[in-house]
Amino acid sequence: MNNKKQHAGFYGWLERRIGIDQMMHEALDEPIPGGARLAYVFGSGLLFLFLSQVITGLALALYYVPSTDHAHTTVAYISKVVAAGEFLRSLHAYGSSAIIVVLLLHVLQTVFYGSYKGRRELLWISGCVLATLMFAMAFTGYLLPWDQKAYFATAVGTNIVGEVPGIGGKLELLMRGGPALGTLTISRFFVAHVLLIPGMIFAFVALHVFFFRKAGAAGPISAKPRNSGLPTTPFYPGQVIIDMAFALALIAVLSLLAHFFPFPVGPRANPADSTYLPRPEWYYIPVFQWLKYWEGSRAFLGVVLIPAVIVLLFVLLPFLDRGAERRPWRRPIPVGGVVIVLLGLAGLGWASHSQDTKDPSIASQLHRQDEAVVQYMKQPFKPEESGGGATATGEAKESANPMVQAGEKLYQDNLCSACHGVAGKGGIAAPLSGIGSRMSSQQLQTLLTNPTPKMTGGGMPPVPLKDGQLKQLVAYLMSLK
Amino acid sequence: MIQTNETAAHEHAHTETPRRSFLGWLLGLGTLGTGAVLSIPIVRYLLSPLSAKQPNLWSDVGPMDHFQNLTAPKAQNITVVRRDGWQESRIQQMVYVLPSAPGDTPRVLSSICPHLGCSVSWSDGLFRCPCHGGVFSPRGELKDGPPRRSMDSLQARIMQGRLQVKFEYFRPLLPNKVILG
Repeated sequence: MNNKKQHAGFYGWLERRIGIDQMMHEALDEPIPGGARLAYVFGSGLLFLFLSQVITGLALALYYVPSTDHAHTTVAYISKVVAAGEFLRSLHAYGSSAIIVVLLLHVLQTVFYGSYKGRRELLWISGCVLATLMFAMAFTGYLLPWDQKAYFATAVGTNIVGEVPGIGGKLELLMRGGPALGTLTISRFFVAHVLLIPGMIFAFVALHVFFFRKAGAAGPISAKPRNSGLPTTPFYPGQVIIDMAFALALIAVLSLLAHFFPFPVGPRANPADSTYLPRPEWYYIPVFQWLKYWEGSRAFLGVVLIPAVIVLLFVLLPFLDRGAERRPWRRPIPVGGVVIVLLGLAGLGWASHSQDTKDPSIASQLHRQDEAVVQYMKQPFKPEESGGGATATGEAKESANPMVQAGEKLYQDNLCSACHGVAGKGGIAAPLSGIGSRMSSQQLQTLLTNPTPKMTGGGMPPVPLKDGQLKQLVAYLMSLK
Repeated sequence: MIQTNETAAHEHAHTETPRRSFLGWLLGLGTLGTGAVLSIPIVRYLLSPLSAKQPNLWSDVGPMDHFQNLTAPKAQNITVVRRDGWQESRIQQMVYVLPSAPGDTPRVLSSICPHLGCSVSWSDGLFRCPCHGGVFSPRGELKDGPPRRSMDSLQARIMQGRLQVKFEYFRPLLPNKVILG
């Protein structure tokens, strides 16, 4: 603004150091040709949903541990124990679906309005990258709870990557961190989901917004792609209010869903379960169904070539559809193409659904799986037995040998653990683990009845047990690892 | 509201300042209010350790009839369960249940020597520590040796006919009982 007003007080102090007025002007006075519209809300809606995912994701990261040992327990703990944990996790899970829905609407709006025209190729391509990153977020996040659904959906998903001719096998190995899904897979997916991809999303959102502001808003379909010549209104307040109302509607719907239909955790992943029927999340089902039709020698065509051509045509849309015409009915080929692909995907989704419901054995198995999830959610949270040296469980239970078990009881009853630690892990006195590899049971028995001066000096008394019990104690000590 | 060009929008905006800033306040307050409502679950989630139910710290010692007519302290193994978030650990410990009048809750002593943490054993009518020769009376009072205090008693209660004890660790070497950690 030319007529700069001098602000007084604290606001003025800040203004002279930050330039708030200029920033607000940059942010809020973006001219919108033809005025504010409901059709323009999807971009800011996506940004809002992404921020919601960041906040709820931070909350989840407070408890989550990315390892096959703990992942499922920690997610169950969040859902069943932590205050508002189930609600925040549900917001996060439903939020991912909401992002896909709004993303689809955002793309459709852009295609129907032809708003990729007029030096907006980079804007469009950065958007394509963001869409890919969002799908990658959905895919990597799906594994993390390590329940049955997560495990088997990701097993299938990574197997699909393995289908890629040539490098598929190596790619699958790299994604999983090994031949089977396991702890290395969880770490990889966790790092991708929480550090790598979000970082890339932040960077590409910045680029996307930069390209958008550089090219300017495209305005209604009647306008020319550049220099529309239409009267403009500033972004604030008209469009801001519509965008905020949309964000409010999104979070309201998500909150209601999360509150009344909380997103469940299923039973822990059991790779040995051969009956489990994996089904990916709804937005991956069309792809899942598509892959069923391509087997053997034709796989290359269906799995690689056709999708690659479709994706390439889609990414190159602003280079192919170059005219100044923006009205969708005058651009039947690009608009029709996108609509046909979308209808095809919807059809594939419907085909998958009808196959699942028509086949009674599949339908009943899927029902059993859903029922298992419901039952699991009804059970109270069961804490995990902690590992490490503090417990007598684990090692000691490894042996079903009655001699060893009786010896363990003697070890406890005679308070050997007071000095040598639980399960001989060591305490005030030396640990006994692995003693069996250092001496024979005969030598050990002799030492117990006649301790060396060094041992008595350290406080070790002769063991006052009779021969039978002494043998049991020795058997137990020899078993310590 | 529709202006012919950007410059006009700015000029007009300037004259419109009162209306615009009132709307700004309204939107700001609305956003703040909505944000406050939305942050309720986050705050509850973050503060959940404060309101978390304390796990049951009482360990079962055994049915009361086992301790009714004791003539000497009875050694008893107990399992102490510690909850740490989503993990749980079980530790075996030993306590001594002392003879008590019928109907009274018996006194329960920790078997950990208040000197340096060895396990005290019961023999020849006295508690004796095998490591450094501490000796305690049948009630656990210090009689002789390097310990600086009597044996540590533990909180005990009777629930549905069973004796329960709240096992705790105490700092060694001090003249008085101080809970460790």
